[in-house]
Amino acid sequence: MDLPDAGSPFDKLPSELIFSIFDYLELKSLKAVSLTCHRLEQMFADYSACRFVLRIREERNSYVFLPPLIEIADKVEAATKLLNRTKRCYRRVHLDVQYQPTADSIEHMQAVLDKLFAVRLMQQLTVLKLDLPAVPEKLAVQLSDAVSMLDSLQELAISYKQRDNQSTFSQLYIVNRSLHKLVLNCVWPGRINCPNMQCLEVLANVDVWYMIGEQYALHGDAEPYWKLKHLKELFMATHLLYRALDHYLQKTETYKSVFCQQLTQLKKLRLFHSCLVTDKVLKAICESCVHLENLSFTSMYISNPDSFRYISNLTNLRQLSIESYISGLSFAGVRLPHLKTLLLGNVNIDWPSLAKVESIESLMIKLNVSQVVPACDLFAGHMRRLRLLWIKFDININHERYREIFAALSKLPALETLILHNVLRLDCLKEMVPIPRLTRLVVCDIFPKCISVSPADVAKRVPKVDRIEVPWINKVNKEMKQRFGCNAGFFH
Amino acid sequence: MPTIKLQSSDGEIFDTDVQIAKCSGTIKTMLEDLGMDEGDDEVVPLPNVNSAILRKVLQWATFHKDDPIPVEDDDSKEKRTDDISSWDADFLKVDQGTLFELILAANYLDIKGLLDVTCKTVANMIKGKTPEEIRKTFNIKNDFTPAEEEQVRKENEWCEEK
Repeated sequence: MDLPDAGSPFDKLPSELIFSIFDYLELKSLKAVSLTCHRLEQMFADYSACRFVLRIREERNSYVFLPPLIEIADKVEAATKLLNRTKRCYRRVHLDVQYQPTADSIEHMQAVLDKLFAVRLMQQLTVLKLDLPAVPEKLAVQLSDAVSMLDSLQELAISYKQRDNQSTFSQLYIVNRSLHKLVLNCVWPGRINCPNMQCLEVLANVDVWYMIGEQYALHGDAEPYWKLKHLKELFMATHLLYRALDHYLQKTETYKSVFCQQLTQLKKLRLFHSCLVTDKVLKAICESCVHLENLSFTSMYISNPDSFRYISNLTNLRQLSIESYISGLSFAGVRLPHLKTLLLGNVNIDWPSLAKVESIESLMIKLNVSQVVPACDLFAGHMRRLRLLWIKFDININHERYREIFAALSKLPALETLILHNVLRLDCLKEMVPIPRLTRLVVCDIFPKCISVSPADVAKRVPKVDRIEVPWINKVNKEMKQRFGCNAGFFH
Repeated sequence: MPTIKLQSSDGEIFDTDVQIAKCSGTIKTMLEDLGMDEGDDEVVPLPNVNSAILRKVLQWATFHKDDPIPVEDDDSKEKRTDDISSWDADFLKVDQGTLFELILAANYLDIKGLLDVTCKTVANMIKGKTPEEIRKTFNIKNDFTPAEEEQVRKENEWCEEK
């Protein structure tokens, strides 16, 4: 019954070529491969150290009851045992402690933190995500100690979900040499000192920007409790609702400007939710953060239309996103020679002024009835480098207008990818004429939404295109998020 | 059209169009850096490729000589395997030994397009199979004890996507 042992063809391949095959396999298949023989198991172990992670977290099988935290403490212990025993090298260990706080959760969290000090875990933990329990002040000192001793930690995310009262955690110190990225969700540590931190994300129910600005304004040149001058990426969002908006903005803009003036290394800045940008603050950003490559605002609150021209100072800017702009936005007199990506939401834009921004390769716009004519004029004669265009249509744009729009799009010489979002009716696509370089057409959310549409339905109505996709909006969002770091939710 | 002579490990000489031979990064470097000129009657020895495999490689390179240079994608997730052209799929209907020899040859000769498509083909032979089915497909001998197998299975549970 035994076959003559010819060996496996895998025996002849060196590990680098086996890894090239592994690149094409998903985790489930790779796990099956690892169970075939010792050599391939070893290959998988070496390979997975780079591509996968060891993740310690609770099973979220039930969406009603989250398991008690004690399970996490057990899991941390089990993982530590594994790390002490295994021959595999885990370069990435993630610990994800997210749960619903209960009365005894403090003790459980303390048990988890105690276990973090196990030597192997401390050397290999690269990502730590913690949801703090109720009354977290008691944990602050212990957590500060743990963070300072995790020598491989690259990413730390701490959130506190009892948002009804703002916790300041003055005893919590985030001091760590290896940390690259810090995410704070409604947590306000007393001190941050991480010399290698590139990226900070702060979400809060207070005016984050103002509060950090206050520290910097009061301490002059000496850096305050949060050392942030070397940051490369900053993301701020606040859930605050303003009353007396004008008064509030005027009162806070000085401190906000002072903070921006410190951030001279910044390459990426995203200001979300109620982080409004006024004339004075925009000026401070544009004069100080001169290395910015990526800038994103939810709301611009500019009173003098000329203030937008400050942005020309950001000569390295490659991507600009503006979700809403209170008055009309004009690019007249603006020079941004490297701007490749422009993402606009509810912005009343002066279309002819965009003709001067010739470097744009990707554009996302929301089109309403009054904008069809100027937008078509722009596409018909300008935007010679545009390769990706995402249009979200207003439902008031009628069928006839689609003919004008498609005629203008056919004049875009470099357009490769066209994403049409909220098309009125499938038959509107019959107005499409060939676009010279188009290779990919994505149609999502066709009205009325109850009709299911297949790529073949679209193909029947449009000139030949290599790839036609009719995805769920989530899939498009995911792609755009990878590409630009934001999605269609940006428009809402 | 200028040609050069390629010599396989078993001594066979292949008179090859230079343009096609240059699909191979290895041969291209030899010609350009080592100053082997097209007019020369010199023979390029390829000691790691036998004549049967070299014939297949040249057949592939002839069909793909006008392909654009493939771009490097830096995506760390698993790559697609459902985009093999029908010509390549037919071309790779060969026995397993030949398929793996082609991987080695594509790697040695530095032909990215051929390496990609051969690795994809092997990946497709693995996808969706159980460990036992994979062993059977590739004649892999199970050298695990049941306890070791259980140990690997347990450790695998900890491993997740990023």
